[in-house]
Amino acid sequence: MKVLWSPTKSDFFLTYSNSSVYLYQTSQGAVELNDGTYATRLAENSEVPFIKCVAWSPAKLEDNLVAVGTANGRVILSNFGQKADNDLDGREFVPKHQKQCVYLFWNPLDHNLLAEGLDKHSKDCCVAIWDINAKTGGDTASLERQRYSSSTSDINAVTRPYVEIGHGETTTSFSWFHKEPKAFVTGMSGRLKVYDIRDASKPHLFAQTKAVYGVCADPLSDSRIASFSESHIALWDTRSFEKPLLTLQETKPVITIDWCPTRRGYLAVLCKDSSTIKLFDIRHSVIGSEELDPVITERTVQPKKLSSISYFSWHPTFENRLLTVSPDGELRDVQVYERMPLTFASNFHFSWACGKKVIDLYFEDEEIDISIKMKNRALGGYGLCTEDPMQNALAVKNEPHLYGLWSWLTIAKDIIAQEEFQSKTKGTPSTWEKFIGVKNLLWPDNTCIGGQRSEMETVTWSYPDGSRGNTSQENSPIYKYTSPLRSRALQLCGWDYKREARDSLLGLLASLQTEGDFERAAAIALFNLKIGKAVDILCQANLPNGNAVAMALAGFTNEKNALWRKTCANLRHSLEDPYLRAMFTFLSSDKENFDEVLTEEPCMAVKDRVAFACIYLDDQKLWEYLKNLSQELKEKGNLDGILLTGASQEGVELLQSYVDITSDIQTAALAAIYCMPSEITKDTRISTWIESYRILLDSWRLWHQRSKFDIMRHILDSNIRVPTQAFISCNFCGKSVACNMTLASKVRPYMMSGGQSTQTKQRLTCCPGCKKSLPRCSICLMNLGTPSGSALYLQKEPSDFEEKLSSYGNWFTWCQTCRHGGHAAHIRNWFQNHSDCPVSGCSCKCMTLDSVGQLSAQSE
Amino acid sequence: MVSVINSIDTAHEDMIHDAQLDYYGTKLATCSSDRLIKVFDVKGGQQTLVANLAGHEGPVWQVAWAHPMFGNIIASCGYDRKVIIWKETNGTWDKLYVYSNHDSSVNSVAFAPHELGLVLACGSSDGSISIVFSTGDGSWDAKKINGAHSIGCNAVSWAPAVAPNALLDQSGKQQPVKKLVSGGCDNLVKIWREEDSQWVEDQKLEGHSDWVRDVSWAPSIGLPKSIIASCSQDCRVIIWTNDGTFNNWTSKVLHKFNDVVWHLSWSITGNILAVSGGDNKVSLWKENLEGQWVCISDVNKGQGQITDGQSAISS
Repeated sequence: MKVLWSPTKSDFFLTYSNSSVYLYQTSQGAVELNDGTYATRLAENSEVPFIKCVAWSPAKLEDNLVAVGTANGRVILSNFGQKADNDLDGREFVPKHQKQCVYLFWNPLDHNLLAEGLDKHSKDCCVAIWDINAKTGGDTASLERQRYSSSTSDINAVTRPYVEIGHGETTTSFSWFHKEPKAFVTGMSGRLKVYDIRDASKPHLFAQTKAVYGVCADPLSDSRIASFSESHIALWDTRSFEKPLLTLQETKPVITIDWCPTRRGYLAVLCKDSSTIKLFDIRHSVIGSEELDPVITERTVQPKKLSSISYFSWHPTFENRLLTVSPDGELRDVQVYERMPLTFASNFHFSWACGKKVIDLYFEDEEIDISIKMKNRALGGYGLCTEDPMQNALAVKNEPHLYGLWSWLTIAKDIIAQEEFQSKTKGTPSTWEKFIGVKNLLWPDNTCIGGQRSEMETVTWSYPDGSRGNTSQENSPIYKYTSPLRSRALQLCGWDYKREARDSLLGLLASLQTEGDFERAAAIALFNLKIGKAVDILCQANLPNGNAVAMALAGFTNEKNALWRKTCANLRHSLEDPYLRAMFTFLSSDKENFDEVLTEEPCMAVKDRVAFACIYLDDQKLWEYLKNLSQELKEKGNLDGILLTGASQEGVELLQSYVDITSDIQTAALAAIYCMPSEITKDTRISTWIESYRILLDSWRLWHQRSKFDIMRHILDSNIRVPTQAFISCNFCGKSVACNMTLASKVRPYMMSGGQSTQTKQRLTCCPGCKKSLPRCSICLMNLGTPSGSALYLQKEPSDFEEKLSSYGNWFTWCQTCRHGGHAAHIRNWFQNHSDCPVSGCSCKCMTLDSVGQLSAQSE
Repeated sequence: MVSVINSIDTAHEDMIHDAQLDYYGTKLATCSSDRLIKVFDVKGGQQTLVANLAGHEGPVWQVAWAHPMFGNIIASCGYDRKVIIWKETNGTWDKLYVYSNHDSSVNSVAFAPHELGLVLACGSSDGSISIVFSTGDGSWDAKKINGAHSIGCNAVSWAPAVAPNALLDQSGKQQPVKKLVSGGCDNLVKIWREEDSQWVEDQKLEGHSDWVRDVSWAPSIGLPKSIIASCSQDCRVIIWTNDGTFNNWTSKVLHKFNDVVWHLSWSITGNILAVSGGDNKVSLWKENLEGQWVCISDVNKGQGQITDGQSAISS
């Protein structure tokens, strides 16, 4: 059983045995070729007896025309009984003498030529090339032969070959060349011979060899030929045909070899009783006059384990696809896989090559990688709003875990501003340590020993009816702890935080109500013992079970009412909102012990838990609580924890674990620079985040964002100077013409030597490196050159940094396309009235080309 | 939609051995057995061929883009034992430098981080690695690590310049890291560092049982550790991790595939590792919070279809 792909129809193949030819079509059907690949048997031809070989016509025909060679040398054309617009079906080619057909090959370009190999006969040729369109039946020789023939169909027979070669010789193999259609190579009587059919009297080239079997020319490189004998495979080059270039030794006898039609220098070899096909990737190069040893990479393909292969066929067009057949007729469709190189690009394109194609994948989903999210955030202006840091939190609204960070930054910044204002007005230096966390604020030494001495005071309720409890009458008084530092901590938590000079608590409650955060407002009111206010808030809120909760609250008295408490405890468990639950927990728990309020899950937001703890826990307990909480949040990389750690070493650790978990270096870098200057600025982790984020912005071509980021760093920490990133280079020496620090000292003499030594009109009209003149202004024709920028090196006072050395009009500018330009003021005047270049003879439409709009459109 | 897939017909006459997008992802360079390098402009899903670079005398194995601060520069290496550096000036690509000091096929080429200047590493079948660098005045120089991998070096990859365990100079500024990793036919992954202007072996990572086909040093975006991925003919991908404190590298097998693993590539944040194997699949891997590597997506190149992996992503 042998297999052949159709040379013209990519989904057709045939199989043949001694007695039948079967036509198949792939895609679906009952014959499984591979996992998920099937084929259907469309037709069969069992009329031709003793089939020796089959060849599929390379002509693009409607039908599937095949030539079938038989044991008596006849070749019969068949199209499996399909209708056709030609009369080729059934045509026969009859050699003079009856001898077995050895092979059949259609010419790949001259589709009417069919080469037939015949067994040795002393009076006849061994290679007959038939013209399938030759006249049939008419000549006398055929009529004569008909008399001796048993066949009755010889009316449609061709008996005279177009070309005959090799009288009395033995032919074993044959191959047409693919680019020279008149030429072929054949294995004949111990030689490989190359013929041209226009002059078939003698071979053009020949080589003495045993390897006369299976000769085949590489369809992609005509000079490369392979053939075999027994277990040797010989590789030939027609340009030096005397001896094989290379011989490959196999351990078993070779059955068949064939070049891959889609990949140069790729030879498939099938050995006897083998379950694998070996693929040799042969690279042979002549470099200059030097010949490199060919490199052979060997791969094996195993269509099915433990199942030997009797024949295979390369697919003519699909890259690296093979069809194999086992001795018992089992077919396998095999794909030989190539090495696929991969590349990830910064803009979320991911490409890989496969054969001769490149496949490009573009990721859009933020879930795939945080970098996509980071880029989108950067485009939305995330982190660039220094005026009100809370605006940055709005840019990441749907990511609540970032909220804690930005609200802490906002409050911390406000407090800093207030402190600075107060210290200015009072003339006393501020004692406030910037960007401090609650834990470090209360215990700066990070230990509870010797720190914090809080006052304990007994406090009373304000009841719904407006009355206040009486401390002496209360049978279980509530103790509240206060100290100046605790008040500050409450400020950081936002509980005692005067933003707009309103009563801090009432202001907070009002703003929470406006935002619709009623549960939180009610809870904060309650924790501040304003039970009436809490009831009011809940009644207004129109919450699903708000009224019931309000009722329950309203009924609260501080007497140990067992029934009320029990009911509250039950109701508590049915509440999902952490704030409503916390309220009941608070009311019903033992006043000495508020653990449940702080630990029950789901719990209130970190800032509310901390604020609560700062009011009701004694020093020892508060320390324990804050220590454990900050440790927990740090480990989880929860940014809410920044409230506790602040911009401390611990804060950096928290950010690091946040980065470890999320890879969000954007937020980490932004948090770090918003806290600047602070003790953590010098931490290498922070500089790594900042640098990495800048690199990311650059690689996304978000240069505006990156510049703004740099500017922001400078604003927040004036110690940071971002080095110059663009230079103007001299046409002659290629060095920068800018007067930077190192050049400044050398440049100054030239600045003075221009004759205009007044401070305001300093000029440097030549390159500081090679001293050649700078180009001239195309309007005034003076040499360009102005001291520009803020000239840091001349100024001692940082306040002078902003002052430019010369006015903008004197700076020079130029068109990015034609490179003509001049003083900014001149050029600006010119382009108010013109759209083309001021240099005569230059046809550049500078103004239309160099629009800012175009640039920004391109950067998208 | 998770992703948009797009197939580019490169018009190469033979198999493509490498395809690399430039720093911004706007240019694509491919190289092939047809001895050519092709450069494409990639914009909004459209690819335009802008240049054919002919100069190699055999198959071209790899291409690499230099950082854009040096201009448009490509390095290529091939079977002809050459490394060619190409530069574009006003739309025309020309050879800038040809390095031909290898005795056998050059298999891999990689530009160093830009902080180190215009420097590239090349790995060859002659077993050596060359570090070729521009001296800044238009000429080039090279240093060679002879006998880096017996039988041959298959891949080289540079460490990111900004690394958590970078050395600090006197002024307290970070010095850029100057290290590279290589993989070879001796089944080894080796890390090299420059010491007193000589390249010396820093680490030898043993773990593979067959030829190492590709190595890739992960970009360390904000992470306090160094990560290297290597893949081999032994069908395994190994992730090597160094926590930054000591020079200890721990290994973890990402996955044992059914076939040879040819190539690896990290995403720019180092969060996703792409793997291509002899089973004709490209798969994307991500480490979850438990430290397990999970396949997030499988791409079958034949069909160009994407099938989502374990942690399903809706498409």
